[in-house]
Amino acid sequence: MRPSKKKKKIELDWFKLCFTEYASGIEVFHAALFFKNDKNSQKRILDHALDEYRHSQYFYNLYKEEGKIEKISSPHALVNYGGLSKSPFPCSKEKLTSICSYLYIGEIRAIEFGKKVKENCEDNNILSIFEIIDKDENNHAAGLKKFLDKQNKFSVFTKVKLSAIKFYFSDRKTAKLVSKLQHKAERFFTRLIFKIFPASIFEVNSSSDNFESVFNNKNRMS
Amino acid sequence: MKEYILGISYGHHESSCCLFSSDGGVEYIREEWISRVKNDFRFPVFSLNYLKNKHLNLEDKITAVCLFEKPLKNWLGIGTKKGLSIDNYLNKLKQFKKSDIYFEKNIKKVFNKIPNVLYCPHHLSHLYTSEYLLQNKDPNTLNIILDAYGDGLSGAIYSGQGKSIKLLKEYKASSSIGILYSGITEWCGFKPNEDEYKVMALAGYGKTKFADFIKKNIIQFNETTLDITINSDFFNFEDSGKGTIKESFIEKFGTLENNKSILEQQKILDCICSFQYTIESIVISLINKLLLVHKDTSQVFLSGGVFHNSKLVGEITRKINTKILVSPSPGDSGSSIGAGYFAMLCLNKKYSNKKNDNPFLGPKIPSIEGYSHLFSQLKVRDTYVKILEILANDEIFAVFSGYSEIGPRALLSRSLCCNAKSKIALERLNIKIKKRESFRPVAPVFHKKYLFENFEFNSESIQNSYWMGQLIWPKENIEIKNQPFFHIDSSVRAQVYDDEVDLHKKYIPELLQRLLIEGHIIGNTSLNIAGDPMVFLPEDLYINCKRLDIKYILQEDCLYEVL
Repeated sequence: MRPSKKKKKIELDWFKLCFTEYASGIEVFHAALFFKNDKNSQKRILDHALDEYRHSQYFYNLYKEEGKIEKISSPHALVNYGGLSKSPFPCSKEKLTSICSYLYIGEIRAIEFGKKVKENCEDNNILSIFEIIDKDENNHAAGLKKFLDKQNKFSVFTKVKLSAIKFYFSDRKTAKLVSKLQHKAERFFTRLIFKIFPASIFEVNSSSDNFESVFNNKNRMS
Repeated sequence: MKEYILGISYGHHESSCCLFSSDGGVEYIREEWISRVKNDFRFPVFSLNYLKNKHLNLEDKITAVCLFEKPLKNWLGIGTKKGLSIDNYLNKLKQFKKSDIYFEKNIKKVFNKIPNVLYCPHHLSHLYTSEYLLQNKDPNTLNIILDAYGDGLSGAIYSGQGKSIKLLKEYKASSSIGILYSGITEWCGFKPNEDEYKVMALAGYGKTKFADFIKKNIIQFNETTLDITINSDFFNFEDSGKGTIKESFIEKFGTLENNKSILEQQKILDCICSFQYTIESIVISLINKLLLVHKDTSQVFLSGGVFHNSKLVGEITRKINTKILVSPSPGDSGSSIGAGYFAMLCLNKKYSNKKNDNPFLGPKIPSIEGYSHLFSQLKVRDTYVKILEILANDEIFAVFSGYSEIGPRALLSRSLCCNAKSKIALERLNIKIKKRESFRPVAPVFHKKYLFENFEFNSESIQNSYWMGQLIWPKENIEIKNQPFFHIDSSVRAQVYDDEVDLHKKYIPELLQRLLIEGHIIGNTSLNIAGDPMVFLPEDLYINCKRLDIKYILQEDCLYEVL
């Protein structure tokens, strides 16, 4: 008999996961706005968004249980941690297939992540949460697949692949040595810029004493 | 042909756009309403697309686009001097890449042709926002602008209005009351530039124990020069690579204990209260001093993010017997209105304001009648009777009716309402549904008659209470302090309904007006989950009602149920 695999401890960043799910909720919500004329579909998509918000709440509760305090403001967290900086919204309805391909790949990634957590995590509370999330994500993926199956197959194929490639590159971490060198170079040149230029270059002398002075300066950025 | 002028504010927090049209129309949109990212600071691409879809050939008809600040001046104004930390300089370069210096480039991504791009100085955007929204035209107006930071400054004082303004005083970033308050917010474990209102609410729980120390050692006001000096041993405003709070501050006031509720940490509460008190006394002294010098002053307009602090405004109006007004949106998010107004002044365009002085310059709230897959109309004989029943049962209903409010406070257009006289209903709304901290009271809405009977206030500044701009305190010997909508320090941030004012008659749902006229007091909070943007579309309404577990929605005189 083979010995059972020992579970490894997995590092989970609840804060990041919370904002990733929340950002997904926002994106799905925006997608739902394209379905104003298809009421049943719109309701289903809005319920999908509700699921994402609920998942976000699970992760937020886990984060709070660790007794941590949010140190980053929510818009910055959503944009940077949640991934909204790479969001395709706002966009026109013509891009619906691309959007749904993007959301579909997002769901597939979430399912794969859930699997990894289940393989490595020992905490029953966390496992039960991921059990619920997994069920939801599978439903979402199936719904999106159903929609994509009705579209042009070649177009869907290329868009799904393109989204997968985009996610692959956004996930890629730069090699440690390269990022270290990058960091050092960045600091060196920044220091240089602010050291070699005289302080006067950063001074601004425009005045706002009265309307006339402001009017004469109305097209200037300083 | 119709012409348009567009004001835009973004980059710091709460991006917004305001479109003025030559036929008198005004439309204000906050980016967060559409993007669904609370306090969205990014270029308002969602709002601009919304306007583009709504107004045919908008880009051909725009005369000018005006930004609410001077972006280069703003970027250069802080954190560029020598001797600061390397992290500060790295932050500065990152900020440059994301800043509104690229305003024109961003505009061109949305509109193909832009005729004229203008830049309004930051503090003038605030000034003109007040002037446009408050409408009281008077050359003897004194404008006091205090905020965190903008264009290298933290405040300014101007006399006059329109094109006849005169600068009296400017405050450098090192005197920033706004950044100081944000620093304290962060020290209390809240998010800076977002949660300042929580700190204001907590001030009521403390005592002014440290006020003397703060006045002596931390913030000084010079009555002759009107300078405000903040001791840099306690606060750091210049170096973004380091925290705002310095070691000396921690040594004196300690740090928050994470395992204890903030309400159990009296020293922290006393510190908050002392800072709030000191700021109040400094601003009051400043206004008194200005009024002494400028004897002809007929009214004082307050603007800038610092005057979001309704306790500060309340203390000012009750201690100074002059007409002192704060606009419904004194912070940066309202500045797009001022930027647009500035462009009108520069181009000599006089687009009259059809909507007049009101805080409802947002788009008309869409009807939910066509959303039968999300909501169904309740079949009741009399909606008013049903509402009374809901209130009597301590239940909550949502209002989604009229026009969107421009400010941060819900004013019965997009509100969650309950019976404010019922402690159970208020607690249900505040803690169970909105999941807010217990120390933040729910604001009541009541009739002007109730205000006159029970409260002491500066009648010339009553307008502020139309949009919850100030706190008010009850008269001595009046036994209403046991009402559950009072804060711990006996103050109330009420919305006052006046049936003689057109704006109320026009914009508040008739059914709610009837309730208020009949003496009901409505508990009112914004229609959103705490920390989320206010509801804007029927789809948002569905999402929010589901998440908040809200059953009833009032629109015009109809009640709907969420499916």
